[in-house]
Amino acid sequence: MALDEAVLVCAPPERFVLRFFRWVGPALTFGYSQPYALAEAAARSRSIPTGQVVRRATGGGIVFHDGDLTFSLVFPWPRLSPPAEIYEKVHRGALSGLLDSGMEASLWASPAGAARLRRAQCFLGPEPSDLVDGCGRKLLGGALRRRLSRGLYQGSLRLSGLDERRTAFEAALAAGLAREWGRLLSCELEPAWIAAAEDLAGKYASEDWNRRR
Amino acid sequence: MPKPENCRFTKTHEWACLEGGVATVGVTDHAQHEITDIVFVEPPKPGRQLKAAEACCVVESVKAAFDIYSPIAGEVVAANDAVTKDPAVVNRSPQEEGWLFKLKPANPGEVNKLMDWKSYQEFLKTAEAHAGH
Repeated sequence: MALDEAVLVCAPPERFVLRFFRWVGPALTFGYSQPYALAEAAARSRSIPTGQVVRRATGGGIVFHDGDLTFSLVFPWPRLSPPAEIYEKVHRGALSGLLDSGMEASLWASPAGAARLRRAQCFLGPEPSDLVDGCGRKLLGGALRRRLSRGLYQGSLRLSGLDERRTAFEAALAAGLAREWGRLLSCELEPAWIAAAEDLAGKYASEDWNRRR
Repeated sequence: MPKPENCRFTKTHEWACLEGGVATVGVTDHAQHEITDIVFVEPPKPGRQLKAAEACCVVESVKAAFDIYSPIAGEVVAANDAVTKDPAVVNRSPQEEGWLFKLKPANPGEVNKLMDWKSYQEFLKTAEAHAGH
């Protein structure tokens, strides 16, 4: 989380930075505006220790990280524009990569006239532009943050057989996202970003941040 | 509440209206339209000292959180409870009931450095509006 914010703050405005990361044991992240009590109860239901529960800078709902493929993308977001458009663009890229790797997936669209739901837990069901499999089961969900002219997307991909093909899926996602944005995506972190992340790490571990509401 | 013609505007789509030595701050109609359905607002707490252009407030629509910036420097003297209780007020009435916070300016003249209504309308039409900071 700290590194994502550091890249969001420090990366040059035109730079795309894609990052895949893993968790040390099961973890839970929750949306910027969500109450801690909600996340704590969800963590307890899965026996996730409170030290593995962290508030994100992005919006959205609770996500359990237990065998998922978690990734983030920092990208230029120069013009204030509807987040649904950005969300769809990121997921179109991810879809393109997954289809190339032989997966069956599609962008989910809500039934005409249906009210948009705000789910407390991200994977309780699909929302517009989430990726779903042939049975409508949600595969990819994410959330966004915009700061100045940059955006941060944090996503969670759940696929069967992920452990065996993790590297291949990461490559497929990277290729699909690069194709969608028409840009090369850097996965390299600069020393200054890592130093900034070290400064921010305390924030994400703190009660002030995680229990702020 | 302030009419747009009496307010000043930033390139990051906040407005500020100075009346009686206090500046009322919110997001513009353009901003609320682009952010879409606002479900959460976190204005700065009274007493907080802000610098001009400092990220000081967060609004969230479904799936996305946005930083909002202080148009001028000063001390926060009030936050709008109405928008924290019913964030959709910002969508319905961004320049009236949907104001975010009030500031006691460090330098009241600073507000005059911002765009007036006509300039902001021109700004929205230009490529600059599409390039952000």
